[in-house]
Amino acid sequence: MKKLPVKCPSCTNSLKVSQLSCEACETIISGSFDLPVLVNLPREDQQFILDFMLSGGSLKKMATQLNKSYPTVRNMLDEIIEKLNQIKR
Amino acid sequence: MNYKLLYNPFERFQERFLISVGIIALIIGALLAFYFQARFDGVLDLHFVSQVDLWQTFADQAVNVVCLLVCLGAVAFYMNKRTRIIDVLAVCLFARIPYYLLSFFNVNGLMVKVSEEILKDPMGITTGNIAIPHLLLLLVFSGLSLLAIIWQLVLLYNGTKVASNAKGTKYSILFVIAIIVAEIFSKLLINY
Repeated sequence: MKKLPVKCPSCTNSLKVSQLSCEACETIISGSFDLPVLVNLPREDQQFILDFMLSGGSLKKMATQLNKSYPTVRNMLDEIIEKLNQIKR
Repeated sequence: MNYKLLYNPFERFQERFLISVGIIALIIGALLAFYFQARFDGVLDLHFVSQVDLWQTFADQAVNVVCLLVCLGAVAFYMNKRTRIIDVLAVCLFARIPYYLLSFFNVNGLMVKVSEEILKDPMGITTGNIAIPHLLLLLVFSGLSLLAIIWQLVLLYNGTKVASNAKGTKYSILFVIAIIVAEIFSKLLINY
C-alpha cells in the first residue's frame, strides 16, 4: 500500500485533497477538502489507534497483543494524543 | 539475547510478574543477608556485621523498598498524575535484585575478618603493608558493589521513567534528589 503524502515536498505545508474519483463509474469530484487529522499521523500510530479501537479501548488487551507492559502501551497512547494535539494546533 | 531486558525490563514485563519476582528475590535477599551476616542498612548501603537477627534483615529490605516507593512515587506522580503506584512498586522491588547477591562476599565471615585485619593497621593500605589476597578481595568487592549500585540505579531510573512517562532534565534532577532523600530516610529509619 502506497504511503499517502500529507506534506508538500516543496514547502512542507499541509496538503489538501483536490480530486476524488469513483473507480466504478469514473466520476471525478474536484474541490478543496481537508485531510482527516488521523491521516497526519505516522502509519504505525494509525495502526495503533486501529488496534486500540478493535480491542475495545482496552490498554491491557493492547499490552498483551503488543507483548509490552501496561505503562509502555499507555505511554505510546499518550504520545499519540500529544501528536494529535500538536497537529490540531 | 535481548540486552535491553537487563537494563529496562519494565517496558516488556507486566507489573504482576515484576512484583512476584521482586518479592521472591526480597525474601531470598533477606535470607542471604541473615545467613552471611549482611545489613542492607540504606537504599544504597551494604555492611557486613558479626551478628544480625532474621527480623532485622527483613526489616532492612522492607524499609528500603518503602523509602524508594515513597520518594520515587512522589517524583512519578509529580511528573504524571496518571502514574499507577503498582508500577512504581514493581520497579522498587525488582530493581534491588542485583544488590542482593553481594551478601555472598561474606561467606564464612570473610569480609568481616578482612575488615578487622585492615583496621588493626589502617595505614597498611598506604604503606603497602597489606596482604595481597585481602587487597584483591577488597578490589573485587568494590568493583562488583559499584556495578550492582549502578545497575540498581539504572533499573530505578528506567523503571520510574516508564511508569510515569517522564522525560527530560527535570526528571533526571528529581530522580537524583529522590534517591538521596530515600537514602537519608532509610538510613535514619534503620538506625533508629
